[in-house]
Parts: sequence; C-alpha cells; structure tokens
Amino acid sequence: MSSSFSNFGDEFSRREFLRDASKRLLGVSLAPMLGGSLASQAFGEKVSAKKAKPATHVIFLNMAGGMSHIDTFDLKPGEEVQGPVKGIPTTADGLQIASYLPQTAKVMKEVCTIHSMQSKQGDHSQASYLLHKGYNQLGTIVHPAVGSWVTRMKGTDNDTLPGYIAVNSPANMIGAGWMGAKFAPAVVTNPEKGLEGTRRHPSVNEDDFERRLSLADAVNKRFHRENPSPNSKNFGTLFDEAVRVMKSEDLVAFDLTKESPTIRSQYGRHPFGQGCLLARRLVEHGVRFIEVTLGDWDTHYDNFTGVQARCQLLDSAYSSLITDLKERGLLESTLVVLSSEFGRTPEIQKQHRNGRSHHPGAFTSLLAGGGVKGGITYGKTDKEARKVIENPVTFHDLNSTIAYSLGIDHTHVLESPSKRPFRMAGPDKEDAGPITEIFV
Amino acid sequence: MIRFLSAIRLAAAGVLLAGAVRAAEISPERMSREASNLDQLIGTVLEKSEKTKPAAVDDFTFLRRASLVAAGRIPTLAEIREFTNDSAAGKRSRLVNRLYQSKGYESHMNNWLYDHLRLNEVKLQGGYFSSNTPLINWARESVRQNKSWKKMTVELLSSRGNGWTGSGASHYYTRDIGMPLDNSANTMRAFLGVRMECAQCHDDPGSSWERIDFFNLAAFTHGKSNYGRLDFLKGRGLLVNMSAKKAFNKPGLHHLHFFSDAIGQYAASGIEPGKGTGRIKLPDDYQYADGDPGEMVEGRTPFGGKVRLDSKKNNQDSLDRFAAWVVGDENPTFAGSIAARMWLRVMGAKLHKKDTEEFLDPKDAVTGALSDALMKLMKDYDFDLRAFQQTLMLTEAFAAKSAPDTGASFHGLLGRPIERMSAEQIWDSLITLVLEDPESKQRIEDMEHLFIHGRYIGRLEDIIKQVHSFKTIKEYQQWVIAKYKEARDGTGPKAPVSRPPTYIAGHGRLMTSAIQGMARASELPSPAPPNHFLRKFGQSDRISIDGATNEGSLTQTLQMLNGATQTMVATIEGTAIRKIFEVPGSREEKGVLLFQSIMTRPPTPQERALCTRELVDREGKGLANIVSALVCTPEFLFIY
Repeated sequence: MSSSFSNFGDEFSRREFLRDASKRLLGVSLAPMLGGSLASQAFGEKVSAKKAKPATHVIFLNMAGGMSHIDTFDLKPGEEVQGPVKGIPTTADGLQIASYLPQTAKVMKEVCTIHSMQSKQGDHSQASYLLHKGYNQLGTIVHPAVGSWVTRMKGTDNDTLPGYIAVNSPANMIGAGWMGAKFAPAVVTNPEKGLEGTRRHPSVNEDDFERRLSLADAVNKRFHRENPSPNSKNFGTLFDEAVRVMKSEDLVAFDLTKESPTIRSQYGRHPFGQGCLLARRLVEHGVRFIEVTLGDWDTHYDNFTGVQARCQLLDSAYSSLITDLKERGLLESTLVVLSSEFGRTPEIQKQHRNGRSHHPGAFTSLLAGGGVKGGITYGKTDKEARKVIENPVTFHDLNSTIAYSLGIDHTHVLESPSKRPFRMAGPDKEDAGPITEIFV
Repeated sequence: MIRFLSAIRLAAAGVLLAGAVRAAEISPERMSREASNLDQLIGTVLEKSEKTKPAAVDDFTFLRRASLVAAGRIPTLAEIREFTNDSAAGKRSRLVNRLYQSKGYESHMNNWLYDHLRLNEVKLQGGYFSSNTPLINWARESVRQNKSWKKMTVELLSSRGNGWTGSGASHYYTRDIGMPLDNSANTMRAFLGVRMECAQCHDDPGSSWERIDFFNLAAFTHGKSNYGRLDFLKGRGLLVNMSAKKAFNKPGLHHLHFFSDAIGQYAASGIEPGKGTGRIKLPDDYQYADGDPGEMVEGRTPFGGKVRLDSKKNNQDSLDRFAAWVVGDENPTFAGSIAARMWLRVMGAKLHKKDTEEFLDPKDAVTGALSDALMKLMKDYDFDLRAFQQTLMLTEAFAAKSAPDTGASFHGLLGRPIERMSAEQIWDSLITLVLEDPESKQRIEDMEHLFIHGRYIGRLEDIIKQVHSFKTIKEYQQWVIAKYKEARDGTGPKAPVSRPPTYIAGHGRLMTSAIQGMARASELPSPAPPNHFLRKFGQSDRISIDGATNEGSLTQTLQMLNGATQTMVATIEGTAIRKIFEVPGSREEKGVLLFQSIMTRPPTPQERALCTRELVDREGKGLANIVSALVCTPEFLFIY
C-alpha cells in the first residue's frame, strides 16, 4: 500500500501541497477529495456489507467483440454446432473447455463458470454498454461504468493512485458518466509504458511547474465565476488529481520491468498478457478496480481461426493471473471477472468461411476469487448452447454479484445531478440480485 | 414509432437519384432570412415554456465558439485580427460565411463523417486486415464538393463495383464483410435515425419493431457484403499460404512477409462484392409465427413509401430501390434525422427528445413547429449540410450566452451547453498553435500511389490489378519477391510525388510516424492509433456510429501537463506561436499576443501582468510556461 501513509510528515506536507495546488488550479477548495481520513466525506455513501469478508479489489477482463461461448467454456461435444473444437478436461469436476486453453484448464478449480448469462442486446455498442454500465444506452444521460460505481462506493485504499484504471478498453464504455470525471478511469493504452505523463517534462523544473499552476489558477478563477458549469469544474479536478499522482511513490506499480522476465513471459508478451500482469501489480498497490480488454472476438468471419488466435492470448494471461494472485494470497480479496458482451450463434455460417454471428441469448462469464467458490459451474444451456435452461443470469445480476463480493449494497440508490435515481443493480424493474450460492 | 411514421401523410413524389442536381448555391442573404424565421419559432417555444431568452455573447466568445463549431479549431491570430479589424455592421455573418467556406470546415466535417459512417482506415476482420482508404477518400471528396447528403446517401447505398477502380463508396458494404445484418442496422441508424438493431434477434417491445421487419429490410441489401468470391480468397489465401513458405525466411527477405501482407490489404479489400439479391432467408432460430426458419423473404419497407420486392427471384434493382426509399419524400425520418444531427452539431444539444430515435418529431407539443420548419428547410436546401449548419449558426440562439449543462440548455434553445471540446477539436486547436496555416498539411490521395515503409511501390490501381491477375501462388510469389527486392534495393520506379510527413499509406497501424504527424486530425489515420493523443481524448474507434466521447479522464490531464503539449507546442522551435517573438515589440505586447492566440480574448489587466512577469522573470522559459498553463485550463479545453 501507499508508503506515504507510514510517514506522517510526508503525508502532511503532501496534503498541504495539494490543497494549495487545487486552489491554484481550480479556484476552488477540493479538500474533501484528498482521500485518507477525509475520503469518507467524498465517498460518503452508506454501504451495507452483507458478506462477512468482503473482497477489496476487482480485475475485470473484458472480452470485446463477443467471445464464442460454445468454442471456449461451454462446449457441446458431439453436436453438429460444435464444429472442429475439441474439449479437454479441467481441474474443475466434470468441466471440459476448449483445447485452445490448456493452461486455463489447470486453474479452473479456482473458477466459477457461469454458463447461463443472457441479455437482449445483440448490437456491440449497446451490449457492451450494458455489460459495462448495467443500464441500456440512453440519449439523455451517460451512465457510470461499474468501475466508477465500485470506486465511488468503496472509496480508495491508495489516495495517490487512481482508484480505477482501464487498460486498452473502448473509451466510450468505461467513463464515469453522470458521476463526473473524478470517478473516470485513468487509461493505459500500452501496459509496457504504464501511465504516461506522470513525470515532469525534462525541460520543466519544479519552479516552472509551480509557476504554470499559479498562472492557470488566475485564469480559472475568472472562467469558473463567469461560466459556471459542473462539467468544466469536474474536469478541473482532474488536473489536481494529476498533480497528486505525479507525486505518488506508488507509480512504481506501473513499471513492469520490476518483474522477472520469466513471469512476464508466463503472462505473455502481448498487450493483454502484460495488462493482466499490470493489473496484479496495481492490486498490490491498492488500486480498487482494474479493467483489461482483449478485443477482436467478433468472429463473423472464419470463427475458428479467430477464436484460436484469441485463446492463445487469453490462455497464458488468464491462467498466470489466477495462479499468481493465488500464490501471493491475493485471490481471496480480489474478484476476477471475465465477460463478453454476448456469445455467438450455434449456427456456423459456411458462406462466411465458418463464421458465427452475435448471440445474446446464452453465453458464458467467469468469476474467480473474491470469496467465490472455485471449480464449480452455475446455470446451464440447452444441447446446442443456444438457450439458457437453468438459472439465467443477466448483467444486472452479474453486477449485483460483483457488489455483493465487495460488500456493496447493490440496491443502494445514488442520484445523478439531474436527480434521477440509479443503482449498481440496474433499474428496479429488472429485480436483479447477487448469486449468493456461488460464494464460499 | 410506427404510429408516428404512418400518421404522416406525404404525397407520393418522384425520387431524385444519384444524378440529382444540386440546387443553386444558397445565398448568405437567404440564410440570414431563414435564420430569422427560425429565431421567431424559437422565441415562440421559449414563450410557451415560460423561459427567458438569454443575453448574447461578446464578439470574442462568438468568434471562438463559431470557429470551434464550424471549423473545428480555435481561430489563428491572423483570423482574430481580421475579425477585430472588421468594424462594419454584419461582421458576425461575414465571419460565419468565411468559416463555412474554409478548409477548416472541410476538415471538421470530415471528422464528423468518419465518426458517423464508421470510416476506419484499416479494419481487422476474421484475423485479416482490410483497407477502407477508398471510402475515406470518397467521403473527403464529397465534403470538398459539398455534395448533398441525399446524393451521398444514394451513392453509398446503391454502390456497386470495385471500390479501388470505381467509386470508393462501394466500401460502405465491403467494410462490413461477414456482418450484413449489422450493416443493415447501422444503415437504418445512420441515415434514418431509427434504431432497429434489437429486432435483429427478437421482436422489440420498446419500439414495436418486429423481427420480420428487420429481415424484410435487410433483404434489400443482402448479398452485398458477402464476398464468397474467388478473388477474395485468392487475395488473402494466397498471402497466407505465402507466409508459410520457406522462401520468405531466406536471408535478405526477412521483411517480405510484412511487405506481402501490406500489398494484400489493398488487393483483398474492396473487391467487387455481390450485386445484392433483394431477398434473404430467415435464420434457423426464427421464432415467430409470421415466418419459418429458412424461409426466403423479400425486401419490404417497414414505413414510408411502400416498396416490395420478389422473394422468388433475385431482384437486380434492389439496391437502387432501397436507396430511393431511404431518401424518398415519403420517408419522413430521412430529413428528420439529418436535421436532428446537424442541430446537435451546431447548437450543442438535442432537439429531439426520445432516446431510441434520432430524428426530429414535428408532432412534439413544444418543439414540433420548429422541428417541422427545420425539416422543411433541410429539404428546401436540397440537403446542403453546409448551408444548413451556416443558417443555424446565424440564429440569435447560437449567439446566446452558454448554459451550464445540457439540461439547462433546453435543447440548445437557452444557449449552447458548456462542454469539453471533442478530441479532434482539442488536437486541432493545439495544431493551430503550431502551424500558421493549420490546414496546410493535407493527406495525399492514397488511391494513386502506394508506399510501403516509405518506399514507393507503384500506382495502386496497377498493383491491385496485377495481384488480381495471378492464377497461381507461384506466379504471385515470383512477382512479390521481385517487387520486394526492388523496394529494398531502391531499384524500383521513382516516386512521382514525395511522401509527406503525415502519410500513412493505408497502413496506419504500423506507420508510427503518423503519431508524430503535425497535421489536423482529419489528415491522420482514421482512427488514430490507440495510444495517440486523439484516442486518449475520446476519438471514436469507428466501430459504432457516433462512438466518440468527450468525457474527461486523468490520462488526459497528465497528457496536457506533461505530455503532448510539451512535445507539440511548448518546447519545439518554429511553431506559429513562437513567431510572435520574431517581430519587434515589448514583452508586454508579446505576452498579450501569446495569451490571445491561445484564449482568443485579450487578457485582463491582471492576466496581462502575469504574462509579462513570466516573460521577464523566466526569459526563454516564459513562453513555454504561459502556453503550458493556458492550454491546461478548462477555458481552453471547453466550448463555452
């Protein structure tokens, strides 16, 4: 965790500095944003913890494009719809997964496989929006992503690093919407480079940096007075946060060269593999919610080649992440979620060189750690993996389950600035709730 | 939805097709008259809603806002001077006219089309990359000619042929290879503002669309984006086979695979697709009583003018009839959706109210008359988007003091909401501080010349035709190795044009030089590479329609404080703002010019003193300090 917490002197001077910086940059006082004991003022929502030992971190692996469930985690051996994919046994009783995932097969004893995900959104943008935000996309308001909910409801363990970090995720899916920019993720586009822009440019000394903040402050005061706007004020707070992060001793969390070449290779030397490794390091440094995206699952065309190629990247990264978290004693406190916006059709479209189309009717998500029982499956699909026939799970239920794992009340209502009520469980009418039976 | 659509009775009328002639140029005087009419209607809406018209903004705020909205960037110092030196009546109208005739407008409009039509330079599909450069070039040329939206729509939807050798519009279908149903859903949204994607899989209780409606609609363009053609397999399969050959691993040929793949992108994408059949089979999971799985259904329009094709045979004219229906006078949402989008673009907030529909509603109790007038104006202007936007900008409503947020702006009628600039507007405004003429760096016509890794290969069309002519892998192999050696050894044809610094050869994902390209966003790869400034600030990934976002993030502020602004603007020599220091004048005068070139308005006395102090105290560093401080303010980053 943040080493600055152990040193009161440093902590005090840093706060003083930030309080000054915030005044300079924004012309407003942001003291409640400065974390630590003050965090409860900023993140003052009442949390009703229902779970005895709530998890503290989430790693959300976003399989963007529509991961074919039938070719990965919900095999239907012997059925015509299966195509050429072969199954292999796993360490979870009775569960077979695709032979494309040999390393993952070994860690399935830590994983709960939910075979009964279902949704009504078959369009990428709307489905991904629902997955990330728990609400249907509307023109009148932008909803906050689950990462923003979690960061807001749980506060932060390390007030010098962002609470929510997204690696390679689509920008329009991960934002904080009506919660405002302070709950938006810091974005990493290349895990090898980490969070860019955290050091002063070599041509700028500390004095010049300070002079810039002062000048900006003078201009901002006038602007905010003459053009009051919640959006611009929120954006201004991000400059304050940037200054705070620049001072963080925990920036080392982003430095993957601190890891051995062996472990880096185990995760896979590709953006997703290194993104998963970065996620583990960020968890160790107290970051609350990390999303890592693996894209290009949209295998309309030449599905089997595409799925195999994606699985190669997924296999090394996912298996290493679960193993690594387990070995470091972090799996119990870290919920690892893997989900896609929908699955793919059982039909194999020969005219598209054996492609598969979007299929929101049934697909698979994985949960591991965070108090979830490993080596189990939940829900079932029919013999063609087309329909859910047991224990259907919606994204609202999935988000409620994430909330439950973290000890967040999924029904807690927060109001947007426009006074509209929202919940982590999604709209009231969905009547969603956590799947409590999959927890230890 | 259906009720509304069917309630509109419109006289059947002949539909103008691709050959439609543009109406005569619309005069600025007429636009001013039309703007006054709109203001009267806006006044009535405000009166009915018991709201008070806000005051007008000052000249500097107007100049900055108008430049950002029309041309996508802040004004240059020269443009500020031109505006302030104009003391005659009507200076704002003259400014607006200048902006909409400028290259800046073209650049900004290109960005809109890239986002709206999902124009990605290079697309990964089924493990392969394909190039959409011809479609991007078609879009740019359409904007340059100020082609009417109606004509653009018809060209896209009825496109046929090879996009490389014929109209680049053909790529509208080939870009969605393997996903024709998504293409149909996106077509409905992009041109008619109707969201039918839910009905792709099931009846949609939210909008009353039934699944059969969707398939009847998709039937019109079915058979267009299914390659299934030998050419495609040859183009790609050939190259895949090639990469496995040992010949590629010989010394001196170790970049051959890459080279071959680059050529393959061109060769295999945009190959003439099917002509469209006008009929489609219902899917195997079809679940309703109005059709059987596998049953062939014909193209049939769900609203507007009735068009019905034949399910028993291929319909050769299906694309023409589909395009004619989309733009037809009987189709109420064609004008309604483009008018709604242009209103949002200029006025900053939506005039339409429903979330699932993106078109104006002339039946709305409050805004109906205004919506009706806007749709009529769009038609009267023959879908001239430039004139339409210019007219909106001439309204008093556009010039009103800004509202704190979208809600308070009341559909843009009580002032533009204060909003962060788009990624492109921020980037282009920074470029304005770098280049004296921000539009001077233009993307070159990729279609003519093919460069790979900076080496000239040949005329693109010739290369593609050559690749298509090979009958065997061996023939292709011999040719590509020879071409590769030519490029490697510099013995190939001499480039007839030089390669500009921003040139990306349709291969943006690998040409890292484009990341450093100091040109407006519209001249860089579309979309920019994932780690580019533009993407960090929310540029669309070109996967979904209107996929951009202007939400803020920590990554952006870190970039502004320590990243891009330093490398782009503050530290490098020869930038436009440094020119201020090349002419005689006091430090105070230079500080004022520097301030104004970034913020458009002159500094207050206090700000003037601060800038002077910075230039005096820090000498050489003062300029960088002022620029870096000012671009990191919400006043710079927001449109207000």
